[in-house]
Amino acid sequence: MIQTFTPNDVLKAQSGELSAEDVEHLNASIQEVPELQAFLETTEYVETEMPKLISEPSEKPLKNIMAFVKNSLEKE
Amino acid sequence: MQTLQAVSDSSLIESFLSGNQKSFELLVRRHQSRVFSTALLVVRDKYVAEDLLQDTFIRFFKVLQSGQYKENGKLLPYLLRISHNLAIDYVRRSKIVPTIRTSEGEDIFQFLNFNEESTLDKMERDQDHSRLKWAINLLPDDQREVVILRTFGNCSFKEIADITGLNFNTALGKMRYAIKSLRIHLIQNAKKYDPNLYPK
Repeated sequence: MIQTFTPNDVLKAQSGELSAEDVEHLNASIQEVPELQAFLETTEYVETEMPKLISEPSEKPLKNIMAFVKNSLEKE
Repeated sequence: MQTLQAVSDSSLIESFLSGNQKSFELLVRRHQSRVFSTALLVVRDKYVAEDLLQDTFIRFFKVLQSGQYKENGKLLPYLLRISHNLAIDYVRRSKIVPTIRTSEGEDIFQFLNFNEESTLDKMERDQDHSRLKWAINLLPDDQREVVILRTFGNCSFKEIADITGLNFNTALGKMRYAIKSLRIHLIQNAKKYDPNLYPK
């Protein structure tokens, strides 16, 4: 029987929420379906590149937060 | 001796509630870059994003103090949601124009480079990242939230569903729509973009 996969299955495979058996079938069939292949490429791109957008703030917010915490606790 | 990495958020929260202020500082240091970057994606202004980072942790502090915070091992997604919501509120209040265009009609954001880079490759990569930031910014709020929880929060769709109150398939659906929209935006604005992503 030929199993039909959807973009949701691609997402579940990426997040580890698809069974190992289904992941194997998905990998085998994805080469035959250009739409799924394209969807996988974009998903992988987003999941790989998004974490690279994470940047560090300056030290100022941390100082302000801790000053607020200290003042609040002293008032209690 | 436990390393900082090994100390869970739950232990730090417990320690803070027992009077150790340093534990709260460690929580801020651990999560501030993701919380800040979430706000930055929406407001696109470093100083505003830093204010929202402060507001997020002060709100969290107040919730902790009130005893209303229910620790379930999901602090980072909890903070990301606060930061995202505060950023959306800020944009709505200030009616920020989502893009700033040059006289040639190009989005000026794609030319901004916040890091000191020197090589052409790095510049091109930064431009790709600017396009991704721009495309993420254009997503509907609910789709952007799911993308952030998935990529910054490293949440599964089951966890996203639990955190947001969506059902599992709706969470998947929002990510699916987001990926399709991002693909369209990235292709339409690609100069140097993975050729595999061009329509066949």
